[in-house]
Amino acid sequence: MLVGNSGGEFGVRGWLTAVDADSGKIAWRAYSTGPDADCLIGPAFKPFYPMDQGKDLGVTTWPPERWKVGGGTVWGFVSYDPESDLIFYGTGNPGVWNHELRPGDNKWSCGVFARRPQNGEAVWYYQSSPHDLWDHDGVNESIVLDLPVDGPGKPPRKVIVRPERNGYMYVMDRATGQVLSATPFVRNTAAKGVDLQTGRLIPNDDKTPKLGKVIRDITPVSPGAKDWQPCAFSPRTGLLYMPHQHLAMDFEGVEANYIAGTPFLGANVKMYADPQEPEGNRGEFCAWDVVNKKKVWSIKEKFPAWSGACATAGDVVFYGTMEGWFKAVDARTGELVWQFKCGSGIIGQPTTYRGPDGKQYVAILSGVGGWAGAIVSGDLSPQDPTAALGFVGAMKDLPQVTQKGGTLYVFSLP
Amino acid sequence: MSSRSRDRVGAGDRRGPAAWAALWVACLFVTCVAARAAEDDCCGGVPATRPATAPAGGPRVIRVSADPNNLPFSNDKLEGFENKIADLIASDLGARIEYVWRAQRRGFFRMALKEKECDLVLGVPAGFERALTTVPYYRSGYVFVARQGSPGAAVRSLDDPALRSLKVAVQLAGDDGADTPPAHALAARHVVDNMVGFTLYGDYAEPNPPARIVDAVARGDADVAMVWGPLAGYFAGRQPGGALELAPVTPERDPTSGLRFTFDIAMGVRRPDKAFRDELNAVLARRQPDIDRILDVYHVPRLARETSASRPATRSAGEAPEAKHGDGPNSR
Repeated sequence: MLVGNSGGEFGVRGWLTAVDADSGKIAWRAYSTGPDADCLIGPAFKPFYPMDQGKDLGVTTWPPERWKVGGGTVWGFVSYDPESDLIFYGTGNPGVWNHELRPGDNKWSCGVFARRPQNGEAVWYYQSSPHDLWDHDGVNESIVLDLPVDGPGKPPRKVIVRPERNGYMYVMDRATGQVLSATPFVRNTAAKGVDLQTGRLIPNDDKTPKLGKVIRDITPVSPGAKDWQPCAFSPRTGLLYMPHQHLAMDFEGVEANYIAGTPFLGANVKMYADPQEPEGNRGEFCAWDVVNKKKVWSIKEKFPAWSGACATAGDVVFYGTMEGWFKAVDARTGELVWQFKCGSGIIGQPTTYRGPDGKQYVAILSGVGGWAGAIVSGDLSPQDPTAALGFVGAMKDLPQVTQKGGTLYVFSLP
Repeated sequence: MSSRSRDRVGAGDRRGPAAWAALWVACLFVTCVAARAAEDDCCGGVPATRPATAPAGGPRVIRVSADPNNLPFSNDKLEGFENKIADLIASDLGARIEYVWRAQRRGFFRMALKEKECDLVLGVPAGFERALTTVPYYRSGYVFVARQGSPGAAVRSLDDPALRSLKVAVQLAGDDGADTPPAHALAARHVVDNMVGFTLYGDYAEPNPPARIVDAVARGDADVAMVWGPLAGYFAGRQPGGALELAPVTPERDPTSGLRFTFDIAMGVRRPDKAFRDELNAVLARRQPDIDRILDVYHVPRLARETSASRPATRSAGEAPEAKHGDGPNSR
């Protein structure tokens, strides 16, 4: 059984731990920072790109000792490919979010590891956001697929697909960690692209944050173009169904805060709907053609689409909105076929199963919260746009359309 | 204990405005008996004027949210100076204090000042927009802390070249890009490799986790630390080894980072609670000398509040504005 930790904002050192499912004993622990031995990096480790190659990079890409509070926590999804016997998972943001205090690439934060589940040894790693500036954790889902990305007439490639916080849809060779494509799926001012030769994200230096400097129109925002809310893939349509958001943010000014009796200063952050989205929508649920690297259909949502997605063999895709609408849409066209208003906004993941009576059921938890829903779940005042690290400003109207909740809804098919 | 903590201002401290330095000296040369008995006596039941009546049905209750493990500010044994000041306020208003214990982390002010959880928080930066604040009741600043007679003890300024080679410890808030002003100031000077960070969050099962930074200087694991005044003043005097020295971080307003190192500290109530805030302001007006005595016992280094008279003649160019609108980070 594999479990990761969290707390990248609290000076925690990230890890993934394997625990014997019968005895509970720790079988192995792979740290996300520190010397190779701690990170279970050894002779099997063959990262694809030179930027990820070298000895003890979990130490040398940090100022001295800083890796000890390095973050890189593992609070997201772990996938397993039995054919290659590899697990894939991502690491979170580097500790000490103020990037000026940690020059260097800060490995192995904001990246994806491939490891052998038996002993945890690292096989490859790729860093999607070296020296992360934006809290773009790399913990999003790795979707294990065989896809004809090399073109017709060629055998399908064994890949993982990762929609990253940094706004790029990555298709990667899951045996080697090579990035086959990195396609933007939102407007991006924070980065100019991904260099497929070096594998490196190319930052837009104009947007580099500096305390006291006013920077506007940064996208993707800190929660990312898509946060942890997971996609679903349908082998019948070949499409990836993706809930995500369209937001931009400003960093400005300096404000005083107080923790453990100690005053300190930080930037005011304000988030808002991406002004270049045509309908002022802050969210979107779309179908993405991974092979052809483009959106096929799109549903604009007023609020960020923060639920998961579930695609069924009946070619119906389920997702939920932050207002509390549980929707079923046609998998091929995106046309709405059914919806139900739940008592509270939805950030849960829809599931479907066959019950003991042989009927098919679809279940969803409603109960708004998460970072996007903090204004409701935390009773935050809409008068403070910078609360919840600026997310309140982007969600001022959410309390008008939903309330706190916590209800499991189960629907049966006739 | 307190006799071990000494300051070295005076001849060596050329930079602050005269009034500021003088008050600094005055604060740190106040002799206090360090025994617990004196700390208890200092604030217990000093009567002043009392309000007219206690409400029918028993004494008024003032609920205070406080950190159960955060000396010198507060702890659940009521040993902190905020605990003592809370008692002073209670006795002045004919009330009693009920504590709601909550570690002061991200989300503290939202939870503490939420309706029905508490009425009062004893320490907030003045002008803090997440509370309605009283007038400030003290002003303090970040200080350099070093072992007496060591090279670190000669450091007085952020621009001292020694900071590039000494092992420098700073407090890290690690809070969504925000950090203590010393951490930012060193980063702005590219002093990074020889910096050692101590997160404000430590092992909460241990007593006084934020004090680790002062312990590190005493042990020799750091040559000089930049620490928030009240924390430094209290723990510098409690080191089993040699004496530690404190000196204010200068420049008080730093042109390089655009930050300031001094803060006025006030009390905070819920934003609509104007009547209670005004009542507390009246208590502060009546009882500031008693509060000052409490702060002396805890060796809180204090500075004169800025008035137009005491403001330095020239301001640093490009200094950051005072705390502006908007809340700090909150939970995700």
